[in-house]
Amino acid sequence: MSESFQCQVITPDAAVLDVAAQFAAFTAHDGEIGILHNRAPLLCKLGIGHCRIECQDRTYQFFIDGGLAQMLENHLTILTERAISADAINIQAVQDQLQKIQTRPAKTVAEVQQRQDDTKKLTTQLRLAQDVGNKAN
Amino acid sequence: MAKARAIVKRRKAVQNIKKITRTMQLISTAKYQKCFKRATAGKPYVKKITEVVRQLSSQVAEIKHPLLEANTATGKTAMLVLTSNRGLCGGFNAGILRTVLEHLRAIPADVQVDLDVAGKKGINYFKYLRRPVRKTYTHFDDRVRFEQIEPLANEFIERYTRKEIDAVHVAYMRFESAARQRPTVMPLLPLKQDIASLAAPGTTQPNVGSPQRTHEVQYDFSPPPAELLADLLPATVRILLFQCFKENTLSEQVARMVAMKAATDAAADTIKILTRTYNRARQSQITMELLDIMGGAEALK
Repeated sequence: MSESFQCQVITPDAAVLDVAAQFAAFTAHDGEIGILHNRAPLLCKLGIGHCRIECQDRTYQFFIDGGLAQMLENHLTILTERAISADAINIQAVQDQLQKIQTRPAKTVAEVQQRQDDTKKLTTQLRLAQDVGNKAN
Repeated sequence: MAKARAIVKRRKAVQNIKKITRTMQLISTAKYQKCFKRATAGKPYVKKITEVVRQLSSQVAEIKHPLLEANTATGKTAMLVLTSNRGLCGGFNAGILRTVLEHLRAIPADVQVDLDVAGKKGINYFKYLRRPVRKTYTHFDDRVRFEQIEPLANEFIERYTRKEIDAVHVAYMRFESAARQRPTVMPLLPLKQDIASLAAPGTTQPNVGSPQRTHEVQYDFSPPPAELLADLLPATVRILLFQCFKENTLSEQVARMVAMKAATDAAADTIKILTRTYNRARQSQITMELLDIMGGAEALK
């Protein structure tokens, strides 16, 4: 487990994380992908989901909202428009939002699609926050 | 003593104004530094996205995407004008609005321009001109976040792909350096064919460790490069718009800093002149009183 690679999480607002990681797993557009030291070059689209980065001393968990992951020469870059640290997710706020969205009327196909997307985003956040919370307790 | 007292009153007023403008200058300096930090914090994202787009476009022979194709038949264009919510920033808003008007005049009369205006100053200006505006925004402050820009960009992208508009332009104050900002009208959509150079207006040359070697890299693509690229183009539009907003707020703070510095200096000059006038008035009054006394004494003899 000593071999590590550099891992960065970047959003338009800031570089959220830059650490030496031993393992990283994230939700790609078609399923989860795990990355270890010396993985072959990869360029893949991300889905709505989570991202787990395991380092020597701690594990970082993020909610990610689409984007792109690049692995090149032991350098993993996760490029996403929104990355929320699992500790920073407010369960109550997410639940309220979720309720609001589920009661929102959607008449057109686009609106229904939008509602499904929003719901998925929020439920993923909720699950992630609850996971972290359970571990902490 | 009437005149001298009036001068003292005025001097006090000017001193108060100077204090206020000086504080405003300090505030905008602090805000500028914060904005600047935020702008540099966003650089890695832009750099990376440019790098990936370039690598992908070298993999794809011909790129076809609705955001790259020119719409020509709608007879409608959209324009987003970024101004500030607050005044006292010198020629900042005037500069942008003048450029917008020039741009509008250059557009043929049969093309309808949908104006979206951000910032109270711009909104009031178009109200004064009695020019209808499609949408107005006043909620962008000096801490613009990406999630605030996202819906805006998505709306433009959607309207463009539905072929409702021919083009989207953004008018903003481009931040070239701390000493130089320039009002600019930037075409946002359609994206330029040369997409590799896209995401980097004003940023440094894209810097990949060794360009030759990256071309040789055989990536695992998922999904295929063409699809990945198609996915990245809207993201590029969003980040471009986000950068416009960031540069605009940065320029606003610089403009306010300069304007307030000028106001403080002018107040200092006025104080100096007023003090001099006051001293002179006081002296002439003393002289006159002395003459009066001496005249009285002479008369008593």
